[in-house]
Amino acid sequence: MNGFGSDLWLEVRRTLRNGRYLMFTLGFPAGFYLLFTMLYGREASGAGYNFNAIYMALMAAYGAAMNSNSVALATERAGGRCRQLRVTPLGSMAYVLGKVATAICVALPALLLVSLLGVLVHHVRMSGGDWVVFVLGTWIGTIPFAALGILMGYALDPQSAQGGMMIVYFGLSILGGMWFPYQIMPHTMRVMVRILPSYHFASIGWNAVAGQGIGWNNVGVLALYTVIFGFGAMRAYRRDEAREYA
Amino acid sequence: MADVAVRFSGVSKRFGTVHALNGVSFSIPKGEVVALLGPNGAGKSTSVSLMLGLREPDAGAVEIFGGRAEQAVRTGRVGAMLQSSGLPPGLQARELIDFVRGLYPRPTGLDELLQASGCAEFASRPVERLSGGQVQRLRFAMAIAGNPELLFLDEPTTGFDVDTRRRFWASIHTFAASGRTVLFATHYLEEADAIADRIIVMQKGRIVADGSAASIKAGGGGRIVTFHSPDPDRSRLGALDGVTKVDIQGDLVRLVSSDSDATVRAAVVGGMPFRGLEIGGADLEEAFLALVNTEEAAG
Repeated sequence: MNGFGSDLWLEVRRTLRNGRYLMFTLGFPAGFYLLFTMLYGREASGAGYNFNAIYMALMAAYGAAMNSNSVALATERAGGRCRQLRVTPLGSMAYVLGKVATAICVALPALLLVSLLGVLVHHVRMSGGDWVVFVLGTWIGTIPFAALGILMGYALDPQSAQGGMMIVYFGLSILGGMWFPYQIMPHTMRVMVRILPSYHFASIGWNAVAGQGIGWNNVGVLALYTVIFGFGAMRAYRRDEAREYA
Repeated sequence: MADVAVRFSGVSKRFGTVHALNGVSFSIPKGEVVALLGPNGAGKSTSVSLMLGLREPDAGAVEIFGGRAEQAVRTGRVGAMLQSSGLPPGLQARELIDFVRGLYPRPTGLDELLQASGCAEFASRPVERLSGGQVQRLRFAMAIAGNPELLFLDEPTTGFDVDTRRRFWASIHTFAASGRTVLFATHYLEEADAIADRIIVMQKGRIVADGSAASIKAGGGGRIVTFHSPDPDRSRLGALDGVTKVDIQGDLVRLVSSDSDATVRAAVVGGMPFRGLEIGGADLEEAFLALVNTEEAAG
């Protein structure tokens, strides 16, 4: 685990300097949140503001965790960067974990920014305890998506990474109930959706807003997905290493 | 044993049906500067990847400092500059070098490193704005950042202009002068000749020659016999004893011969007219081509 800390610090610095990151993970969610609430705000009740603020915060956090790595990783990989680090004392385990940790770190500003906009602009109100549950719960809930982003970064080539990312990103968020409430979905869909990690991630957010605390079944499912995606990421990484240096 | 930096014992590696390495054995004592010379596909990069533990051999053993390659890499005794390795954008050259330094137990001082690698002049520039030559220098700095005992360079000067290449060789000389072991893969003969104490010539996954530049010139390509002759006849010249290659320019004949004595004797006995006869050593390039061609004919 040599160098894990300095690798993480380096990666976080890099990501925060990246204009693309700032635009996609901070600018877009904040902008969309303000736009939507301006357009529909007058008709919506206080609960509506809550809904908008929360779903945007969820989208922002989840998107940041998943996107910060995948496309960049696919590109870097083609350029041979991973290989150069593999011939330093920084182990491959530390390298992959550093990537996961980076994704989680850069998801936090997105989550906080959109939540803060909800409070400042639209006066979203929750108890202090609910805020803590909401922020911490959803932040930790981004871990499986960080692992998924890395899995995709290693499994996809640079050309298909961007498109593949978009499909998975929108697919998971729409089906998982981040775009519209789970309650308005047809019954059969509701049953199917329960297997998605994004549903359980969103549920943590909704439960916190509703003051119902943390649903441990959600946490359990997300932990299971973390193991699955993490294992997949490690395998994709190893397989990629095996073919990249002939 | 304690003095051996790299040892290959009967190493084979294949990719699908291609034998990238076929029973390769050699050992490199500490402090030696060795060039691994050969055309593309000779097995140079495969050898380097085995020495770095990036791959495992199918047969035989690879030892670095008497242990596993991966172990030597993890403990920071080895540095490497790989072919076409990308650099992460969004960082200054200095930050990247300093990060790599931090991964090693006994790194070189940052200022010393910037000077030695020639990176000082662009240390605070973002890596995505560096020129090709600057990127290579930065990668060299990353390779030596950990003050390694053993340095691998895989075609380090590909894409360099002549001037940059010479300056780069000078940095490697400085690095090697402190008794460290350097192994570099190249297909530039000039480069092997200029830097290496020893040249290992590879072709199709085998070692075809191993020795000093001088011994390879003498052993591989034989001698060059030149003379003037009116109306030289190519087929007759090629039939002389020992001749492996015939060049004719006007009345100037240039023969590459594996046995110059026999060639001259045959020319005299055969009554071939000549004047201004000279016999000289083949240069490294001819030696190399002779070695590679012989292998091709045999294989």
